[in-house]
Amino acid sequence: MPLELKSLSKDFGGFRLSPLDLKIERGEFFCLLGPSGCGKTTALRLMGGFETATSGSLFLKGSDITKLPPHKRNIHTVFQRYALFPHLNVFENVAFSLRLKKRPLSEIQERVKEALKLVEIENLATRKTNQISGGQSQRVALARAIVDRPDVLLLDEPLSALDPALRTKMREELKAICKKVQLTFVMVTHDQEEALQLSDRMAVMKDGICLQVGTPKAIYEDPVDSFVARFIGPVNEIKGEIVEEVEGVHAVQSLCGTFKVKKNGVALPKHISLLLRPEKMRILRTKANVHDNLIEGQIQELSYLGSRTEYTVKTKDNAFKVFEQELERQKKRSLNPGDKVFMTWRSEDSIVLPER
Amino acid sequence: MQRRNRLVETIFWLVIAFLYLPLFYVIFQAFLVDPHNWKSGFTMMWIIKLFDSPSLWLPLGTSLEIAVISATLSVSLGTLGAVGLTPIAAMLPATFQTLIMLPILLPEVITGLSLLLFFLLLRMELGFWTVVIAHASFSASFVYFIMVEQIRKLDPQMNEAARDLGAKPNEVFWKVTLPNILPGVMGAWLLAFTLSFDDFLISFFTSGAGLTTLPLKIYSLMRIGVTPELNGLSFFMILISTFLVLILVSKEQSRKWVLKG
Repeated sequence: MPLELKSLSKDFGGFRLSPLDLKIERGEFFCLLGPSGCGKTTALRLMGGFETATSGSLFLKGSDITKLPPHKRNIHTVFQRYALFPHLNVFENVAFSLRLKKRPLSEIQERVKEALKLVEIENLATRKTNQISGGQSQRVALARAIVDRPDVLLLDEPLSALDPALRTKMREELKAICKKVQLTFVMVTHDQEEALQLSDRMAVMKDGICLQVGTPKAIYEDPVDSFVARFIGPVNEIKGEIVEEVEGVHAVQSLCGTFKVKKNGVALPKHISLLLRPEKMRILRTKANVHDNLIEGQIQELSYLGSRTEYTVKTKDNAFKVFEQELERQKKRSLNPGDKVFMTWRSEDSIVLPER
Repeated sequence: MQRRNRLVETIFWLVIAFLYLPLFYVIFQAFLVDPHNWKSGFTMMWIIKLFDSPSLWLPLGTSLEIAVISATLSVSLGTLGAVGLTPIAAMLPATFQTLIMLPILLPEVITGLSLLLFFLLLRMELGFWTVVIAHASFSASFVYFIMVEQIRKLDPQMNEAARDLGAKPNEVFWKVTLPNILPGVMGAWLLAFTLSFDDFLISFFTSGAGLTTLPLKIYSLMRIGVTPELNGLSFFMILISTFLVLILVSKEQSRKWVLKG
């Protein structure tokens, strides 16, 4: 167990990070996801040693490091704005931790070269830090943090300072690099796509509280509450009341009709919120190939996004977002605002939460 | 647009003339046979004579020694103060900043007099070291404010990055903070040097009977009258100052050149 947080908390007076319990496994890529002010950065700074915990403790490979200053923890950070040393060139930036440890010169040269090769910037070794681009700075910061193989690598919104096009590209490369170096990673981000793509597991946080820990799939498909459900991706909501249950299939009565929900072996409260992901609903031109549930509506708005088309469909008392993949759309008649359509979904594809 | 530029240009040259004409006049005078008659012809006589007057060389040496030692002292004090206090500046009461600024704002007469009384209170013998301490103590405030600006410009995350990568607090200072504020440190040292080198009032109060710095010597000579040697001396002092400024400017220039790539 490389890193373990036991009821770790921080009280800033105005803001409070509630006691946090996390176990981060060896070789895992763990994300702390949440909106700004949710305490994710505070949690990361506690791990790095830049803040002192108000209570609780922190264990690195079994030993208590709660009170150790940053330089005594074998944990490195990739900072949001990279924080490269402007007086040193790229090579010396990467060599910084090795030089402090007074490693022999041959070892330093070998390991720095290796790290630079890993992030694919060997050719920039002699450049000054003000002579390289943002994406390259990002790579230097990464190489600098992995060169002496820390037990845990912390990433503080590492991609947020890059422009959007570069960010998507770096995200893929970051994933590949992390695979190659086989360290334990903890990343802070407010970008749910980033968290979904990169992490093995993630914690969703809000107002200093950790709401849910799980794999991206578990959090996307089985969120514990409506905040988590909404934060991780777009969702439609229907409020209703369970009126009947037959072998795990519940009938939910709502203002827009009665729907079937399949949930095995879980006791559900009477009043529930039915959450539907836009990509799990299909839009139909005619009442054919219907799944378990059906709603009638009218197209209010549509956005063609290339890979998919996003529709906003108005029903009697609600509005739904529905996505249609391009391959699906091509096969069918084009839709325009005002067209009458049907929406359908399978009874097992909805998320059920107690009504707020 | 053209006219406006011409006006700005004229003002520029007037200001330059106002600043530099007196200096050039002093240099010009230093080479005149009769300093008060510009038609008297040119000579190197006064400059040569200057090299023969130990009564001027000795104070010059003293002034240089005091300036070097006090500048080094005040830069160490002011820089360390700035490094230590900048991160916690927000927590300090506003009066604290004012307190550090006081030596800059106070009339020098007051500073000199209070230092004198202080040394007397401590029963310190007035002389070389009291002047050094006095100079260091008032230029430390200047150094402090220069260095605070330098440190504010640094990325605070850089400090954290160094600690994160395993640097002990003193290593953070020597390996990251200092290299990044070095141009400022050198600038502050030159300023402290200049402040000490041409200081009259504070030296006057704290030097006692035995010690004579160059400004004190010049003052005592002036009571006899402006001698041609003094012009020669001024010429040398202008030369030294210009040299120091050129060092500063060229350092700044080379840094900018590097930045441009």
